[in-house]
Amino acid sequence: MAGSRRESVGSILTRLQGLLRAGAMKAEDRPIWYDIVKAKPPKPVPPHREVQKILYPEDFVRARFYKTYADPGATVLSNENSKSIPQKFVDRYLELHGKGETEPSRLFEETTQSLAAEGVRLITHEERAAARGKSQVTNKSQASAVTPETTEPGTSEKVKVKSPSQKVDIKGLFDEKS
Amino acid sequence: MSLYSRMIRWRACQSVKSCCSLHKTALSRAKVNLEQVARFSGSKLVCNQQEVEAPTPMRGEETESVADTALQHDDYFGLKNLVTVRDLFEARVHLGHNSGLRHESMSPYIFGERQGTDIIDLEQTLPLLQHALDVCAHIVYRGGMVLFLSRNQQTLPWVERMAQEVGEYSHCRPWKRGIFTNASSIFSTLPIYPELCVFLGTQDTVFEMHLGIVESSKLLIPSIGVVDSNCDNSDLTYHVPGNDDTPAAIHLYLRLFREAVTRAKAKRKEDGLSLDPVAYDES
Amino acid sequence: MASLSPWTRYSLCRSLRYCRSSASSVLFSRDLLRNQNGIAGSGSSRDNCTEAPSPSSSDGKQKASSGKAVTISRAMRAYMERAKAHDDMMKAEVADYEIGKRHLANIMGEDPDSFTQDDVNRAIEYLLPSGLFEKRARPMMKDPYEIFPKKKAAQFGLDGRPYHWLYFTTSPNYYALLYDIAWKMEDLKAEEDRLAEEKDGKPDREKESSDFTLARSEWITHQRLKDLLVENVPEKEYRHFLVLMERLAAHPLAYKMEEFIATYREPIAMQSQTLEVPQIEVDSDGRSFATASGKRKKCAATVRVFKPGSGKVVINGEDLQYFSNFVYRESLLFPLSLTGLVGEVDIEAEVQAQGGPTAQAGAIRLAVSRAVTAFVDESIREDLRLAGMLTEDPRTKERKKPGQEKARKKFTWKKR
Repeated sequence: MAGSRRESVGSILTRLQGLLRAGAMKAEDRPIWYDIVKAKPPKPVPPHREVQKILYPEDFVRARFYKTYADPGATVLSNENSKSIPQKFVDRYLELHGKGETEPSRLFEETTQSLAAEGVRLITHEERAAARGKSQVTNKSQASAVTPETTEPGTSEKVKVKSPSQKVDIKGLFDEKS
Repeated sequence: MSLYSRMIRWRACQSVKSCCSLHKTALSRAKVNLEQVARFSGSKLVCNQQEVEAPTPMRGEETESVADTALQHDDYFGLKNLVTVRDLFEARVHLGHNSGLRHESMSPYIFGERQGTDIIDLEQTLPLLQHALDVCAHIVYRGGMVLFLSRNQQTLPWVERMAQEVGEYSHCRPWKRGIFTNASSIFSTLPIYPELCVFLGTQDTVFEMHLGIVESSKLLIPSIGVVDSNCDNSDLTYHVPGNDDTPAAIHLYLRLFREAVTRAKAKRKEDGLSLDPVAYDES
Repeated sequence: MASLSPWTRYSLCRSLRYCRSSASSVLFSRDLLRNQNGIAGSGSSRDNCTEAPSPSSSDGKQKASSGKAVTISRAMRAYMERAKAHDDMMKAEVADYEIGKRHLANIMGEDPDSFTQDDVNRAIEYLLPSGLFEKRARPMMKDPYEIFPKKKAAQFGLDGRPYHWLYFTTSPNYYALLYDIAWKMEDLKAEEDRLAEEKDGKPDREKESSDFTLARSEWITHQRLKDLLVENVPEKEYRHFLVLMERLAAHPLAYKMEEFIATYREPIAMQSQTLEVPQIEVDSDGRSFATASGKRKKCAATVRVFKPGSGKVVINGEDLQYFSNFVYRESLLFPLSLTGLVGEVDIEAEVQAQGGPTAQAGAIRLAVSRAVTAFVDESIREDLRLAGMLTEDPRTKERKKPGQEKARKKFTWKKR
């Protein structure tokens, strides 16, 4: 096809229009696409912008969870009904937040206690470190036992946590009273 | 909670300022976010408002009334209802590459970065995809040839089968240099070019762009391309930001293009545009 | 055959026009004979070939019977023009070839009507003797269809749309084959999944798969694939094809695709099946015998083996003591001990006395083995082949080299 092969110059539409204007191509010889691309040109590119990180309120709860507590162990992925312990923690946190408590550290404590009432015992990093030191003397396997939930997915159904939807009022969720 | 509902919620958070009193550490960042979102949503409105120029008949040309009327129609082939943002999301079209691999030209189409991965903005993808499908259908409607290209080995047989079944062309094999630019000597005939190239992935290998993009651009062949977050979209005529690696996403694109081509061909028959070519008379 | 004066032959050579076609063969042009015999070489036919016929539809539009205009693509128009030009050229070439043949027959003083291609070749060889080593480089006069390469038919229709959906890949047939293989593979995978779900399918599967084997055949050669696809397939692509086919054939359910796989396999002929077994004849005494010959080094032997026999051996009229060394006696009787026919057959051998006893014994042994195959069954014949009894030993004496004492031995040489 006649026309400039410098693809960086203009678009295919402007280059073809150049050919038609200069008479290098007759109007009746124009390619099929010409009318279509002319009538439906590509949409303009939106202005450049910085790409933001996507963060959710629960991310902060989860971050604090991992900062405070040791890794609660493996999760059974094959059972879709069972939830991992961090997920339970986050759900409970948001649930309690919906009930009115807003002070983060207190909310955090309450969540821990609420889960402990259901038999989920969370181990902090310090406790884990202490247990490690002991286990070197006695038995290794004792320290790694965390909760019954991690091994038994069936019991998790007892801990039925309503998943927080968009209705959850997240106002003041992370405000610390200072 | 699914990622989809999270995305919707995130949008909701961002638009209602009073809701967004975030954790102390995130507070300053959230403010910046809000400003930018406001600015961005304003600019987006502007792009959506762009006017579509009505086709003007060229001088010395007999207007092909049927095809031109079809062109003035906003959605002549009814392709707008084919796909929703939800469908795109479920086909994993929103999943981009690692943020470190991001191509600069794709940043306007990226919704955000989640844990080091770019998430493509499906609300921008959808209109671009519909537009591309419409253009493809119009070209087929006027009897143009469409060439489907892809270098994804995993979905190669499906792309070729789709092209065969709709009666169009496909090239999913290594690109020999000059298939377009040196066509007359490669095919030893007067060159034949497709009227549209559809790239279901714009990468040839992981590191290189598909050579066909530049060649079609040089030879004045319009191109439609699905561009992932790590691809350059500058040489394509119509680009559709979206995942180009996941089979589910590619199967979705294939389904959409198959539908567009089939509908266009049916319409072409209906409107009496397709004629069987008469035998060439030697005399 | 008519003889020509030197001058005639010289002028004939001078007016010869060699046309080198793209197939690198030399065409003995018909212009030669036309000029030689004083025919008006107007060249009108030649002009016709090169002149492009004026396109009948210069505006690219034609009126169909329905009255609607249909555009014939520019590529198709160009193709049709070229095809017509080529056809015209070929027609003219053929006409000239026919005239040339008649003139050649007249020169040779033969009947022009019954002058065949063989006669043409003979006449050219006589009139234009060539010392060139390469046969294709010598003067020739052949049917133009043999000399000009065949033109590829158009790959696209009148509307300019290619027929094949992989046209743009430049090797549509090859890639369509790969496409077929890919889908066969996908089908097998789906079938495997289905069988895994319903476990009852297993016994059926084993029964069917039992007679599917690749052992008796091999993949088609590169050249065969090229011929099959009518395309140039590079070496790399051929290897790619082999890899894909191997993968398909290695699938546990490959027997379901046996028909497809078999189209790209060629059977391997068993060597013992290709052996020629001598005919069993009957002599005047009513004894059946078989004749065979064998060679070893420069010595040739002809042997007759009689079936009901007592183990008598006659070599050039003598008995087994023709060979004084036991090794030779044993070697020529080895085929009999292998087949268990010692004492059951008589051997009558004629061997040339040239060469040493090893050559003679070897030649007789080969001939005996070959003759014995007539009296034994297939499995013993295969045993003989595996023992190397039916294979001719190709080794011969190595020639002496100049500057050397023997084939390898050097003259004694001292520096000073």
